[in-house]
Amino acid sequence: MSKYRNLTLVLALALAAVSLCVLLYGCRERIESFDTVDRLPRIRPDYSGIVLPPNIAPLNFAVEEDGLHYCAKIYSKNGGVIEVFSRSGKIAIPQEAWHRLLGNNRGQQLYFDVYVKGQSGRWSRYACVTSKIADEDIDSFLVYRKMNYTTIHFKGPMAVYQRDLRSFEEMLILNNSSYKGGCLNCHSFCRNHPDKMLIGIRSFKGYGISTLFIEDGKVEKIRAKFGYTSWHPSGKLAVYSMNNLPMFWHLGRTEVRDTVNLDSSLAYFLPETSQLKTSPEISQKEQLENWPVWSADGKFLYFCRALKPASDTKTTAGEKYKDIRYDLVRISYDVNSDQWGQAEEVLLAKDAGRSIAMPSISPDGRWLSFCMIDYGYFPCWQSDSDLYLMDLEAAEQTGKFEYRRLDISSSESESWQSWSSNSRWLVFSSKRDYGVFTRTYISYVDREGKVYKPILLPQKDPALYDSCLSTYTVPEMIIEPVKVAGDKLGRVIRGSSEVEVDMPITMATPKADLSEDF
Amino acid sequence: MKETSRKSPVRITTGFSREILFFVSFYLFLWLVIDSRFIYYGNGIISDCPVFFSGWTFFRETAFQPGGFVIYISGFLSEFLYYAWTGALVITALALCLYETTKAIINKTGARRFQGLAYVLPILVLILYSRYTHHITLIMAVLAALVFTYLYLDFRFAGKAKSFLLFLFMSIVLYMLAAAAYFVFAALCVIYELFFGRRWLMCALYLLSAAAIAYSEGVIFFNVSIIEAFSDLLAFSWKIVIRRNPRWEETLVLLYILCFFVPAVAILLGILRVFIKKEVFFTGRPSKSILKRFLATAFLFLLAGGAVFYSYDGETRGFLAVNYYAWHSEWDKLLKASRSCWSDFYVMHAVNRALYHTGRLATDMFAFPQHPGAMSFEEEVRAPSFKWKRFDTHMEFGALNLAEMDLTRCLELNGRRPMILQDLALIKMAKGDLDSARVYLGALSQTIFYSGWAKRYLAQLESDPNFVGDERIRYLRQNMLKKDPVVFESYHYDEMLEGLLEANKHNRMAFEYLMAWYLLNGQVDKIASNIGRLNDFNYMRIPRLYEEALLLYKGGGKTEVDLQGWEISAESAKRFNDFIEIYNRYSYDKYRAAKELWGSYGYSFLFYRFFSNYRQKKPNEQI
Repeated sequence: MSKYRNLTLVLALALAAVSLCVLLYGCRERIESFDTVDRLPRIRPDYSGIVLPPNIAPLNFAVEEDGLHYCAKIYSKNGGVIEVFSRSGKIAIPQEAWHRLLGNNRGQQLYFDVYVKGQSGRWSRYACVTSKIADEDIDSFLVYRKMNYTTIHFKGPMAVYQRDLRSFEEMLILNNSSYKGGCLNCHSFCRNHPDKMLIGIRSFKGYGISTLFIEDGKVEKIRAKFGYTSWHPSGKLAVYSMNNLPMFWHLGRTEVRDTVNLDSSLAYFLPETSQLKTSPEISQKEQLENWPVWSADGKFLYFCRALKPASDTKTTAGEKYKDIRYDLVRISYDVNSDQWGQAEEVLLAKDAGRSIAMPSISPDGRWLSFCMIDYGYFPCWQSDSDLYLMDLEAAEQTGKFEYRRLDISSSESESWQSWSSNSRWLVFSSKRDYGVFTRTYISYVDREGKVYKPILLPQKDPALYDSCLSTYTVPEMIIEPVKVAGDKLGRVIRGSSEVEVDMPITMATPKADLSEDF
Repeated sequence: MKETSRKSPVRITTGFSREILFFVSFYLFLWLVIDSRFIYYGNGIISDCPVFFSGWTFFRETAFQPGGFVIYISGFLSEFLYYAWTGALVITALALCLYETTKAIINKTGARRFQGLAYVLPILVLILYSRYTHHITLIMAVLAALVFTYLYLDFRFAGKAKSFLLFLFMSIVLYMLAAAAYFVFAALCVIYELFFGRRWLMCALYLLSAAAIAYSEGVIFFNVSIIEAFSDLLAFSWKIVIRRNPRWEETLVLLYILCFFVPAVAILLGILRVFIKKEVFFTGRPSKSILKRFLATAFLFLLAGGAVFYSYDGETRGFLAVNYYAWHSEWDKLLKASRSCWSDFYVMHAVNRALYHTGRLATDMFAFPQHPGAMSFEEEVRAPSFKWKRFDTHMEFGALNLAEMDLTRCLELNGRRPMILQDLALIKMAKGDLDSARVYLGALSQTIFYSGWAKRYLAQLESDPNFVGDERIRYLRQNMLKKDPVVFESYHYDEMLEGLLEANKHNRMAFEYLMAWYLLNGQVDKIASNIGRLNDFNYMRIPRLYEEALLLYKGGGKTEVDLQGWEISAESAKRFNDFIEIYNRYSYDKYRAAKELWGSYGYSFLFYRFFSNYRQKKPNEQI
């Protein structure tokens, strides 16, 4: 008897659920007639005219028009319409349907029809927002550092995350609470692959300064501070900068923070022999060498270089901070014999009229993107920092390193660019929309080097950035997720085991103290 | 152990009255004496002040970590400290919950006679707040562990397998809610099974599974470090131990007691059970003696009163009160509150600000203890707590970037407190960095008490982005530095103030602070060279302290000073001559000179200049 009673109850519940679904379906909004508005709708982020990766997470957006109800119809040539209704104006696109739509329409236009139901109860349709779906995928994962906007004191939460660009999933790689707080420096990968990775840490609570070297799932701690790092494409070495970069502060301009490179040079790490080395060609006493980056074939190391100020005391150099401008140079290298050539000039600051920083080379070897600023080496704190592109292939043919400013540069600071493994996507940091709160943008670069309007890294909640007090910096694209993360890294930092490195480097710069490096 | 006999109606009534009396007194003390508003605004001094923002994003970021729910709820409850009465209500409710759960657990062990021990945790909470500390997250975490313990004891099955499953289920949930404070629950379950349930195997299983749950849920599932997995929301968590406030070691002991008091009591009762077989020892005999009941209540109040008496930190209260009144521009109250702690540099700093706002800085600043370091905080620049104490001054006289630097550092150290975000938003709006301001305002609009303010400004950003109609922003803008000097390790305070005067010669606060700085450093020549700036303001006469400095500079007519049309009053000249005469009379004995001059000149610049060593005492004291 009881058995039948339970069965009846289950059936009744199922029936109720089905009825509810039918009722909800019947009551859902339908747009049978509408007026037409001859302008684009105000949507945020603005997705008009962009080129988007076919494997990107849904580009959710918020409609900023007055209305009672909102609807977005998203469609393309090869079918698959997505219709999303919303009361708040936030359009949350279903992920599966989105990926289906994009997957079936590679290389096609993507259309967003936005409808708004006004106070009168009538729907209005705005002009269609059009964008294009690229043929080429973007690397699936993006690694970045998230931290508070701060003027110096790294005592707050700071972590490196990897974001699955195909969805909204954000996974932790390393949190600074794993070692009782401190700084997490730049992370670097070899050819967009997470199998070889370096990440620097500076603990304020007893774990010191070290660099984690992760190779094929194995984590080792190197008791040395690596600055800005670039892996040789062969993975046989990583060149890094050693810097003395004190911060200073502006009392009158909008961006408070600034920094000067008082002393620096380049060195390199050879994982096979656990050696740290340098060479006079990349660490000259009278020069400030910085921002190393390897050419795609590994034959040249590009880096920025400036003449060191006469004195290296903070104050004296500080007064001259505006005079320090960096050239872009390159030096040949033979990975088999570990021999360096002679540095040659690529682009001189005196010719460009500005200081060159943060070069980055596309994996296909054709494009060199970089930042230019009025002075110094650190574009993140210079609102005049713009993005530039140089065609290295053309330079090899003509012997002229020609470059151009990218139209995607804004009036605010652009920095930290990184290329996807297929060289079609450029990801960079910018302060264009959220002031001091740096966000990540993605731009498509076609085969001719045309760089398209950037997309703000999409979030599930399109309004997330409006109140997000974290900054997103050092974005690096990788093709697979980093597999060693969290406390596996934390344990190595806290542990006593270290790689014995042969470090004969005794240059002027490398005082491994807690001076502020970025 | 089985439940003991029912309570007699007399005991119920007495116990209930005592509880009501105790917790009503508890509430009134917190409301009227402690005043939670001082704690709410006491950033830089008060540690562990969790924040709260409405909305899914903050909930997701906060709650989905071990202990996240407790942190989230603690943040929400902490917001109620905004008002004294609601703050007291929240803390009293927590103390009451601690009391009730402890009592219920003790009763579950059958030791009803010892349920008076349940007052220990509320008294501990009282001590913590009397010391002006705020450890609501830890209190909440311990409370969650005790509630779960009670539920476990209540639902515990006779069958071992079922009990174990219950323990596992509760452990998984509690670890999510309260992180490592879950070990308090696990410890209590083990103690209960060991001493009262006599199920040895269960104890071993519980111990093993407690460690396994913390590891698997914390390290593997939530990806936190093993240190955090086993210590977060317990007294020995590095996030708590790291604090270095005054009297911190004592506070740490109190937090240890908070975490481990109930397990210690359970162990004690368990051991007593082993040796004492008489049930009546644990249940006690019903007593109808009014005297006994009175004495018990008196003892409780004596204990609580004594604890509060010894722990009450009047100096910190004064300090926090000064902080609160400075924040709310209640200058007269600030000057009054400063009397309990005015040797502190921050209090001196706040007092000068109050004196400026009440128009007394140029005449009465030496009526209060002074030190140049308290004005600029330069020497203390590395002490993080000092950042809290100067950004509002910097903001007021127009050094917006210095204020921003300090504010962002405070944000790093103390979390995203609404008051920091509010000031940062104001600075960004004043500087015209509206994109950044929008983000701060967006975050603030998700708070409870600052939401309205933020939404008003968000609307204004759309309607009046130049803030033409906003007096506060206009004031900040007109005083901002126009040039862009840079600061390396430190800056010269007077140069910064001069820069502000260069940007706006009518910046009265910068002027009075500059003159105060010169007075504090005895730079009378600078007073003389800047006296012409009086023309930029609406002074009726040369302020008294400046007159004294000018007279000293003139040295009785030896040096010529261009007063640019201003005159030194005859009264000041006479006072100066009298001072010098007395001073010269005792030139062989400075102490005697100071003693004689104190009565008439104790508050003067002259006294400060000649006897600054003696001026460390309070003005109403004899020297």
